Amino acid sequence: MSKIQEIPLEESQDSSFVASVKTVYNRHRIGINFCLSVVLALLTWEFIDFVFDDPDFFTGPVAVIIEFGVLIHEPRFWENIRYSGTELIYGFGLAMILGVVIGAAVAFSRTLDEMFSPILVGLYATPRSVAAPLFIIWLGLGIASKVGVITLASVFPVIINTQAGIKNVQGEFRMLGRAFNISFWSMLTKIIVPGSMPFLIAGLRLGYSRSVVTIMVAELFGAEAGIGYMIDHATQTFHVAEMMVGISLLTIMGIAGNEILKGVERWATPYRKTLV
Amino acid sequence: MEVLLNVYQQQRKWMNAILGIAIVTVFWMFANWQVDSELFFVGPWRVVTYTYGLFASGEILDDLRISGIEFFWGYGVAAVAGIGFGMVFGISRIFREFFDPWLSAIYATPSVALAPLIIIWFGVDLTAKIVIVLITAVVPIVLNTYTGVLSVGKEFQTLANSFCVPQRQVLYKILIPGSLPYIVTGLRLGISRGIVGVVVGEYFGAYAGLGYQLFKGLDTFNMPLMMSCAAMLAGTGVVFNQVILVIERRMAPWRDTQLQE
Amino acid sequence: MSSSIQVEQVHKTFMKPTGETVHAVGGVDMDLRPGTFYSFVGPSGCGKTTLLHMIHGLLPTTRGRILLDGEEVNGPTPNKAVVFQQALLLPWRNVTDNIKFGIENDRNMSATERLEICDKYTQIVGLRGFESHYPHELSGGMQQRVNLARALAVNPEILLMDEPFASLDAQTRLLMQEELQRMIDWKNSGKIVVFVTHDIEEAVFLSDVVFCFSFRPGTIMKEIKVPFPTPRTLRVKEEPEFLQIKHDIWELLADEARKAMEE
Ligand SMILES: Nc1ncnc2c1ncn2[C@@H]1O[C@H](COP(=O)(O)OP(=O)(O)OP(=O)(O)O)[C@@H](O)[C@H]1O
Ligand SMILES: [Mg+2]
Repeated sequence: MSKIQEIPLEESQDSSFVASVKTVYNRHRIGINFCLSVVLALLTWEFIDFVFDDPDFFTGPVAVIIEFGVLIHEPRFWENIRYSGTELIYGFGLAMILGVVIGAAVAFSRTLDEMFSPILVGLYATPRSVAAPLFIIWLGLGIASKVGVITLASVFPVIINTQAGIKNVQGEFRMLGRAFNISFWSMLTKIIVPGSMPFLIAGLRLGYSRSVVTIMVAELFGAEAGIGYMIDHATQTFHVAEMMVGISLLTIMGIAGNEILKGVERWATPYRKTLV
Repeated sequence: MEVLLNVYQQQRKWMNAILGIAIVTVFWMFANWQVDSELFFVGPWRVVTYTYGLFASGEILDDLRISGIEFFWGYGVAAVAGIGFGMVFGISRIFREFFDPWLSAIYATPSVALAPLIIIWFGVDLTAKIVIVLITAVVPIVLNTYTGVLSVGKEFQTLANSFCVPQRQVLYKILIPGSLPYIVTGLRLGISRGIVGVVVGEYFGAYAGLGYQLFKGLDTFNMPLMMSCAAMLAGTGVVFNQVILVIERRMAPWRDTQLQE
Repeated sequence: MSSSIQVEQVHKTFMKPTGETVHAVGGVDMDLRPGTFYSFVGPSGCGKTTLLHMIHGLLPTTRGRILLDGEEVNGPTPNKAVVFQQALLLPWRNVTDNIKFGIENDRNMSATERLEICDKYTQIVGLRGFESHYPHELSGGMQQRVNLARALAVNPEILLMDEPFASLDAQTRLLMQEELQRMIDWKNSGKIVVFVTHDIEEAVFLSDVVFCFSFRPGTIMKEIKVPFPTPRTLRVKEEPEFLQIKHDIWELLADEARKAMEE
């Protein structure tokens, strides 16, 4: 009863305008609801702005776009974006590599698993970005300390998911591989890598969202530039529109990366439905 | 020798876990010995004694109290609201289609980035910090509950329907138990986010709290204080996580245990 | 009170999300009388489950109608119960609580009565000692028996069973066939029992009437009455007349099965 639609006994003969609108709506309801919800949200946002009418307190989408138009003429603005973008690429890139390597190591070696998994799982449960001030002392106010914090914050979901993914396929298919007498290399490329892919990508998506959050947290503790720095600066000077531009930028970074990873997921695991 | 090996074989899981912790600790001590400057690095023992000192002198108690209040209210409301909204999104088709694009946007949005706005709206008092914890912790709880409800197979709906179970009961007989594993994952992920929310909230104007002490440590180059605060925050995360796991094991004995997210 | 069911020219067409349609049931007429045990046999995919679910009211018909005591069926009611083809046990309930699922909302029953009923059917399906086990701790056949007990516990006027013995071992299956007759006692209670199976011998052994279905779209090719008095013992299976009926049905279905395989 879930995915099947019942065939209507007879097509609706009602040819009035309302009926035809209804048919169009039913046919495209997901798309229409999507557009409706976006438009409604923007209108609500603008309406709240209209009610408060206090730019020191709240700004609507129009004001944010105008502010954005102003800011793009300032070199400082681009510097901030470049700064945070670099942090994100290095930080998340490092987390990906380290995460997959460590995850695979603890998945394949029982001894390493028993030694370090309790620590890894423990650390996974901790708020790791609170280590930001330590990194500032160790690595200075520049990009390096942010990269360190971002890596620390986002590496654990990648480790844990890689490990879970590999263990999962190993458990299910090791017998199959044995039965068909498959070499380790084919086992790796034909079974383990594709089989653990959905888990790995789920881990990457979790890790990526941690990375973007951590840009903000890490830059609060002290930075020379960056989007978080910009938001912080705007907060101190009560410049709400600029704050909102910064928040929107981080959101766009988050959504863009997430959509890219979703695309990778569809491409790499066409046989799976998406999992969050 | 053989006896020792035997003991190791029997207890290897525990032995290896302890060995792992020992390796990390020794590494930490070695690094400390190499750096040998309290401005840059502090050994494990010093963190323990410093933390003990903070408790003994009572100077940290007020901070713990403030941060505790922020966390409990923020996280508590996040848990209730998150599970509630997640259920509604999962159950109601209209809500689902209307908000689904927002849910994936929320998933990708760094909710702590909203902290400064919250401060501007609510001022620097306790309410603002509670709201910050709330918005950071609520996201994974909503999303996981939502996914959980959707993951409960339609065939169980059919089953309930077939035995004439009223819709109202379907909620607590089918949907809630069916999505419990996801809800628990959401609650666990929410803990560490909520703690980050506490720290970020206290950055924007506070006079007490663990996050406040962390920033004070940074401003005054007080490495032991910073590490001690970080350790306490991390420890809180681990402890609450375990608490939720124990509760889950009590409430959900039907599950194959030892699952990770 | 005993009920009767009329199935009148019932069709069912499914539409897949791709727009493709499947004509599963193609014009079935039947008249089900109280105190009778009916079996459905037919090739895999011919719409037996679909028809059963339509009788229960879980699926609407595409064309035609199904009447229960003269009133059109439009949803499950407490006087009908179904044993699903897949066990469909709630993973978070143990054996007892799964069996209890269908009688929890019966207000005429006290809590102790419910427990007694659960206990009785746990015993009948041979799961004594497994009361507090969860489904993932049971074998496939044991899960299927919980599924059976859950429907029996409701003590419905109309009992619909979709291959309830499919995952049992051969010996248990034979025992359950004998046991089932005593358990339901449809003659005296005026129940209607509909039993779907792929095992022709089982169908003939249990039923008063066997409906043989054609390949998709499923229609009734033949309605065969089984004359032996009930309850029957396993010895009936050796009687020449029994073997003859079994053989006739086998011949009839073999062609259809071939068509199904070629599809
Ligand atoms: N929900 C559905 N959506 C689309 N097609 C369906 C659906 N349910 C059943 N069908 C199709 O209807 C036909 C009949 O299915 P049904 O389950 O009733 O067969 P069956 O006779 O019970 O077979 P079996 O003996 O193998 O259980 C099949 O071809 C099946 O593919
Ligand atoms: Mg079937």
